[in-house]
Amino acid sequence: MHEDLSPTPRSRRVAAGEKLAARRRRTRAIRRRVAGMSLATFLAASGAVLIQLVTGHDPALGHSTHTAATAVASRTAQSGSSSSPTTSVARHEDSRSAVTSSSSSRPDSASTGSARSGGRSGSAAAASPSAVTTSAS
Amino acid sequence: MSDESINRFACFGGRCAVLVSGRGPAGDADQATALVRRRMLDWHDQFTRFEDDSELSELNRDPRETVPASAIMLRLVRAAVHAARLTGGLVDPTLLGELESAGYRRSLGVLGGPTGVAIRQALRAAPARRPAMPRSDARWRDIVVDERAGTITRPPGLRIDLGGTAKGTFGDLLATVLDGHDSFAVDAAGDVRFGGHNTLARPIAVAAPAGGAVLHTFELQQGAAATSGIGRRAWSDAEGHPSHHLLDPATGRPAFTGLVQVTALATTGLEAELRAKAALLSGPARAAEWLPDGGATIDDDGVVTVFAPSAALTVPSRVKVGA
Repeated sequence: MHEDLSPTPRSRRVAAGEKLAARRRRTRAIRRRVAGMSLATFLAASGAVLIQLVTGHDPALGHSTHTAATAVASRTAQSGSSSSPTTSVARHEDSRSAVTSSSSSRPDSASTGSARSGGRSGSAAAASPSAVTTSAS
Repeated sequence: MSDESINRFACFGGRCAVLVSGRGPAGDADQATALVRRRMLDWHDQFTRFEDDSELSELNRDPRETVPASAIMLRLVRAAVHAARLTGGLVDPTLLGELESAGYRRSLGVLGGPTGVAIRQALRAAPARRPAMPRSDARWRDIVVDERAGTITRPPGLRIDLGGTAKGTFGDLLATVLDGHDSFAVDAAGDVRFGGHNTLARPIAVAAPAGGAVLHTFELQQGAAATSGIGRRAWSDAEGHPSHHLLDPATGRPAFTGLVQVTALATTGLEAELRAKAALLSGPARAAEWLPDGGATIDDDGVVTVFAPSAALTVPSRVKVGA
């Protein structure tokens, strides 16, 4: 005579419960990991922005210039050493493409005016001087 | 530190700007920018070669050998001769006749300039590249500035072109007033002078010869940056030859040296201006010798080379101003 080895309804319920509990544990672990990684990423990004602002390099004040410079001159270094003169070489495709037929130079109301940068004060970042461009005249 | 006051306007054949933060000898920031703007516009009228009634035009027309001049005129002519001496005659203020012969008789900014040509087209049609050389007769040595007597002596008929050295000197003169403010920058149509009490770095962007794209941005605390190039003021002369305003003193013709633009950094505006022009006229092989405080060059093929700024421009210290 053989014993009936098939699970009883009770043992099936226990097994199903354990399986469900295991799934919940895995779900909780995944949620914790995702939340932890998100928090860590957020803190790292905030720290980087804070450092940038504290050191006086507000990206909002020089956004366009920095973007363009990065796109064109990718290996530029700006440490103030004069002993190694050449810090980067890059090709500027636009430099041969167009020229001159310049714009108006006389004072006129449409092209003149005063402004105030940002209206911010207080922090070192807000006090960063605005960018100025040097160009061939 | 208070907010930065910014005043932008057209002057010196291009776009100018004054940026000031904090109170100082020129009043609050708004008062300082307004004062500097007035001075720059007055100087433009006084020293432009494109107006017959300017002091410069009157000096160049004067038949006397020794001519009384204003204090600023003395300073500007002294700066122009100083630039010629430092560059061995490469930056020559006596090439006005040659400049007009090449077609540069009117302000390009006012009238839109002679027929514009593409840099690529100009470079294709240009003669073989070679470094510019000084004139053998060095006419600039005949110019004598006597500050005590308040006169300028030169052979009658020898006309003076103040050119970019005037813009650099204007920046230096204005810096003596604005240096007492928290921070300042004066952009005299591309010649930039900057500084101030605070030690925050200011982004100084180098614009491309055409199109205005930014090629590189320096972060500098004080000093000057000037850019010289053939990009903006280029045209075809009467014979259809490509021309621009940077002449080879030895030939009196537009110089094609292999460089289309140079930006020079220096502690003063005058130094930056003469270095930029001398570097461009010297060509790619020797340009670096003119950029001891840093800068950037662009050659005919569009290759941008950046030279790191020296400590003099990134570490706060007092800058001595003077030609």
